[in-house]
Amino acid sequence: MAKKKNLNPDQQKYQQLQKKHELKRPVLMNCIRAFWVGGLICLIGQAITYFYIYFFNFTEQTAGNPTVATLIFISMLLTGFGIYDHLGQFGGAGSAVPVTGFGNAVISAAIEHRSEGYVLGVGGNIFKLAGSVIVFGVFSAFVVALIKTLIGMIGG
Amino acid sequence: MMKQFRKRWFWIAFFSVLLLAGCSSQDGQQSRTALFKKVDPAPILISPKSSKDTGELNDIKKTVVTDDSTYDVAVARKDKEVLVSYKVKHSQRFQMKKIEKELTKKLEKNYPHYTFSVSSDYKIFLEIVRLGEKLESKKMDRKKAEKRFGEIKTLKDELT
Repeated sequence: MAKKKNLNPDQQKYQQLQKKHELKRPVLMNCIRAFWVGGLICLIGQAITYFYIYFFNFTEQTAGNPTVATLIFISMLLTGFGIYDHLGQFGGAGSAVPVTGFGNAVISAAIEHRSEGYVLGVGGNIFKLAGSVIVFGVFSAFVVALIKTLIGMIGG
Repeated sequence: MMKQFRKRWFWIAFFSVLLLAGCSSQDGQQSRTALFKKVDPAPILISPKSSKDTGELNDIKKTVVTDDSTYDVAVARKDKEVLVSYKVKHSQRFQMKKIEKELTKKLEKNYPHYTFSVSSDYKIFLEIVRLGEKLESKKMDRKKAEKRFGEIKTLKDELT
């Protein structure tokens, strides 16, 4: 609001005009779509967890690791086939927040820079989007482990 | 466009089939649905061979079921070792560690002549049900069952 006061009359007029023609964001609808798409991905993840528990020697605790790997692999394949893009357009955050969004970020960056060559293009840019996620994950895990170790040392 | 679309679906179907191929199981009725439904498996007595009394194991089962947060219990006994696995009600799943601790304490207090391995892991539950079915259908002898009992017990400590 404070910024608007500094606008000159022409700018204010333009803002009003823009407001008139601006399309309203369907926030509620986006939330509902994200809820369903995200929930569907989690449902598939649960089914994969049961699959590993049932057919392989994984317990409830250890089945999480192969489940995450499988979900990322599937989302990478779907990104390559061009299906995950449609899902992303429909579900928004519902498809980006689960771990499948990570796979999508890696492969879409690789596809985008394919024309620049395998080393400087794909190799240099594959972790452009997902790299920050990996760094953040590794670093925060390091900090948490450090805190846990310190508490363990102090507490005996 | 249509051809490309068909090709895409062909590949998706191909990978799905590949993923699920070879997964046909020879499980019994109870273990097939053990992860989704309440199956209420009968207690299993592997050894001692002479004893056929599962009365005490039924009591152990009742002790676990009467707890408000659990609902499906599988019990197996080998000599003085008892393996107890149960399912936790969905609303109580945040308190799983606490429930496990309390149940272990309760069982050790009520039945001091046994050593208990208590777990709420679905895998352990499923494996106890499978073991019971194999013993009942005589697909597994007692020696193998004893070995399998030990393997199931170690699953509890597996972290990777």
